[in-house]
Amino acid sequence: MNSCEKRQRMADELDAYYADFNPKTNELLALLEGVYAAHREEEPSLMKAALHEALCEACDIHLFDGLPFFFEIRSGRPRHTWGGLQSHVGLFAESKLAGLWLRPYEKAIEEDRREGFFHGWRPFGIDHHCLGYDAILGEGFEGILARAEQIGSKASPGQKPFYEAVTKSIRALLHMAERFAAEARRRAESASDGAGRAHFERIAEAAARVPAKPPRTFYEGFCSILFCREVISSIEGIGISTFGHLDRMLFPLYEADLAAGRMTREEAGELIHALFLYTDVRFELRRAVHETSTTIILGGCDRDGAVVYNDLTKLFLEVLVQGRYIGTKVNCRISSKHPRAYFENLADVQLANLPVIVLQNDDVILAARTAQGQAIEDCRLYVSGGCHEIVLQNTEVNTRADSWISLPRLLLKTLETSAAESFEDFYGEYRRDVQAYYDRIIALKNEGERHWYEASPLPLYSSTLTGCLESGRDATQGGAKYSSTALSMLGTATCIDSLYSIKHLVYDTGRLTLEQLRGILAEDFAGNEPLRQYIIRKIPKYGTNHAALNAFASGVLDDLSTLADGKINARGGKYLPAFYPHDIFRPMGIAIGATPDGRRAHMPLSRGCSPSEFIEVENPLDIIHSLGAIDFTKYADSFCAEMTLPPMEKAVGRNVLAAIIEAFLEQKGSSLQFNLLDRERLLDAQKHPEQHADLIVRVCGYSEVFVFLNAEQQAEVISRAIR
Amino acid sequence: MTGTVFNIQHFSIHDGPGIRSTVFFKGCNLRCFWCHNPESWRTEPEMQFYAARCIGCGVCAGVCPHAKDGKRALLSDDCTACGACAEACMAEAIRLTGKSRTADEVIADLLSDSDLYEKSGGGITFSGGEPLLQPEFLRALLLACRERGWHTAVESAVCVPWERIEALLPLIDLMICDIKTLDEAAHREATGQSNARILDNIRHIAGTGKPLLLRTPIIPGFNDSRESVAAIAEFIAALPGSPALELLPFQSLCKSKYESLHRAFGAETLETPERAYMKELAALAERSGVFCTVNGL
Repeated sequence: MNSCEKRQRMADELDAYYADFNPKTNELLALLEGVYAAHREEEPSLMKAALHEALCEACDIHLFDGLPFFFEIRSGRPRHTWGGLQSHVGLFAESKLAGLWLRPYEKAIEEDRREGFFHGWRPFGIDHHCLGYDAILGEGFEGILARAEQIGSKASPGQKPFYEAVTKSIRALLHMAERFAAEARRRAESASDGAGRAHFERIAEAAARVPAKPPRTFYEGFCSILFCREVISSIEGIGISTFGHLDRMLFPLYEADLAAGRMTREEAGELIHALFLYTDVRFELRRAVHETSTTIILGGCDRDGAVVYNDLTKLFLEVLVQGRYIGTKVNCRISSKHPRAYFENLADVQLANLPVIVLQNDDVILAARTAQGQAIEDCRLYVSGGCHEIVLQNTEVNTRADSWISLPRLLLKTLETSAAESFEDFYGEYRRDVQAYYDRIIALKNEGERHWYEASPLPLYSSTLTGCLESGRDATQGGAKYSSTALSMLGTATCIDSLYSIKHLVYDTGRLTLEQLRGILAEDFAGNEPLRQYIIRKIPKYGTNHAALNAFASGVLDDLSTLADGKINARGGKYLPAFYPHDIFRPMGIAIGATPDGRRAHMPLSRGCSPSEFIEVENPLDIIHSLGAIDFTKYADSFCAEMTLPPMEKAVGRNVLAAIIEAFLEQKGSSLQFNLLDRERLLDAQKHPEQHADLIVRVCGYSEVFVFLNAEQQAEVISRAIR
Repeated sequence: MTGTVFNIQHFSIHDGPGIRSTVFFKGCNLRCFWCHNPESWRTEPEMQFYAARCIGCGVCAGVCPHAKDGKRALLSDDCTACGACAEACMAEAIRLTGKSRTADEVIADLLSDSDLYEKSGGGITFSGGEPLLQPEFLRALLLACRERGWHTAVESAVCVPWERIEALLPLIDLMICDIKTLDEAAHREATGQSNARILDNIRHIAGTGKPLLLRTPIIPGFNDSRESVAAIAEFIAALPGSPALELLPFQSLCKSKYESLHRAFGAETLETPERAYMKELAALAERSGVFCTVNGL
């Protein structure tokens, strides 16, 4: 059996298993109910530890005949989910107290959501987190356990429960791994052939070793990362959305294995295939649209600032193209120190029509993070959570991607009542409105977040992070070295273009009064199409590299970056200014009326730092050059530009894309993603979906098979291809 | 120094190496019936009307100095292409194409992407229309490019006196020329000009050692036979310096341009040749020892 056939068999086996996946959730929930009743008077973290102990004993485990990893527990986590928010057992305790923190929050934001000011669902974010993988790989959970016991033995009585919860939870987790080792041994003994025996013996050996101890091989490293991510996401109620900075963490093991002849490059490639394949099959991405919230990080630098770009970086990208995997978001950190060959590797992935990677600029993001007072050594180990949003691996708990504030909606609110006589006055009113709204959301979030520890402490996640063991505080109490909240705004270009239109129409040219503009927007430009065309085509727009507009945009974004200054969350950490979009720009556009930039009512808002979708951009390179005007180091989170280009032949495209990446670095943009769209093919795919099952497009921070998108999403992608 | 340009297209990746900007000169001495740039034929400014963009607001009729009975003169015999309606049209449905521009204005427009010319090994391509019909303007632009270190390509039908080409050649880094057919009578009928001077000039250019890229648009019923392509390949194989050949399959995407000019499209009923057939023609050309691609791929 060749490796292609092996992979196909692996995919078939996974598919069959998850198709018939019937987790005994009710039995588990009944068990947890009993544990809860028995421990309800105890400290929340001890309650959580007791729940962990029960789950690690009670959940059935499963090993696959083809997949060489061990992680699958029947926790009741449904097929198309990554845990966290969708883990019933993990959120068991949290949901008990929903009346305390979630319901009041939902009630408070209900009208804001309906009116399009705000989109969000929770006061604190339990998704898009990253484990402290460096501790897990560096000292193993036994090492962490020993440290917890040692520090805990000297802890004050008030902090004892935290350490007790950590040690109990780690022992429960390691018990789970031991159960996998025993099961693998049993399967090895009963295997009918040599290959099957070897497969399970290999798993048994690894499960006996990791995550208790540091991995000795590349394979064990993979096993440890996958086990910790999957199991902790399932049982702890925290969404670990990233496998971390893999080419940095695993390269020494990879290199040592190759040097010792323990593994070939091809064998390493097969392990990477298995990792990618697991996500694609579990989420059924060849049949429907599902968000996977699964990310890996490549490139960038190590803790000392040395560039990471090695053979493993290349191997990950090669395997991605070979298998045409789409479910894993591959976030590639680039910098001015990286060689062009790296950018050409990245171009090759794009040219294979796999828009699954996002480029993140270390030059800017590291500066943006250190500007927030974070140590450079910690910043250098940043990763992305679910899509673009940044978190420092090992040291930061950043809650985000659960709240978005609409800048365009707030602008309409200012416009509703303003009688400003100068643009400066109008802009001043707008800034005050935005700040007041930002502060209101912060107050609501903080009120909810105060209950986080009580509702859902995270002893396992906490134990892997720098700061929690040292301080004796859970991650939910601000125990990690950095406890941030990146509260995102939305509609950058819509906001900037609308402000500029108001300036031009009302104050510079006197073409309209504020009253007239209000009336025209209320009527959605009905009877005023010539004016709308004038606004769209004659007033400069963000993203077209227009000098005066660039200066204006830069000023507005500088001002907005100060919204979070001095704001502290309920864990004692900082609010960080952010602009990551997800695909919320669509529902938030549907919720609001026409805007002064010529955008019609209910159309999408602009996304990230990209120009508005309905603006004609004659030169796609203008987007890159427009970025140069903005100081992205003022934004601690990733601020993503999307560039839509025509399909290109490989030799041409590699050179073109590598050059654009270099120009992007020089312009000091934050994040960049490409979509190579062939308009004819998109239109044909709408007519003949069956012939285009492999047409993959970038939706936002993630990619999907085009033909599975709904009609509205398809139309939006096609509108991008036209310009 | 001024000249007439009808468009500057940024991010051109099919008119020479790397990322380029293409400057389209207005005015041409050929009239190829399949031409995809009909707005390039006449030297003087022209009006274009894109009906799909029109929002029917009627502003154009109001500003038209030659309007009759409240109807605009656009694209009628009364229209003088003064451009008043294009200026007033909010939807940019009416355009005045081919304004006179100074060389400095053109260079200023090209400057924004200079970082990418450098990073991609690209540069500027002068196309048309026929750039060699405005030789002094072209010379000024080529000199300005050279000052900035930008690579230059000139895409020309070379149906002009050899001396004019010879004088400009030292300022050009790459020549791109069409060979439509070797059949003189057919060439004359399809383009309005003999191919004798064109083929002579191509021989001369190849003889100078200047980098040369040759292109043949494949037009159904005109030059799409195997014999026609084989003859072109043999001609190229005999040239010094073994220039490469690109076959470009006919496209009808330019139809809306003819409509915008109220002009008949002589190739309206033609269809794009099949991809497989294009590959077969390329393989045929390669048999004569010519490096041949389809659309540069």
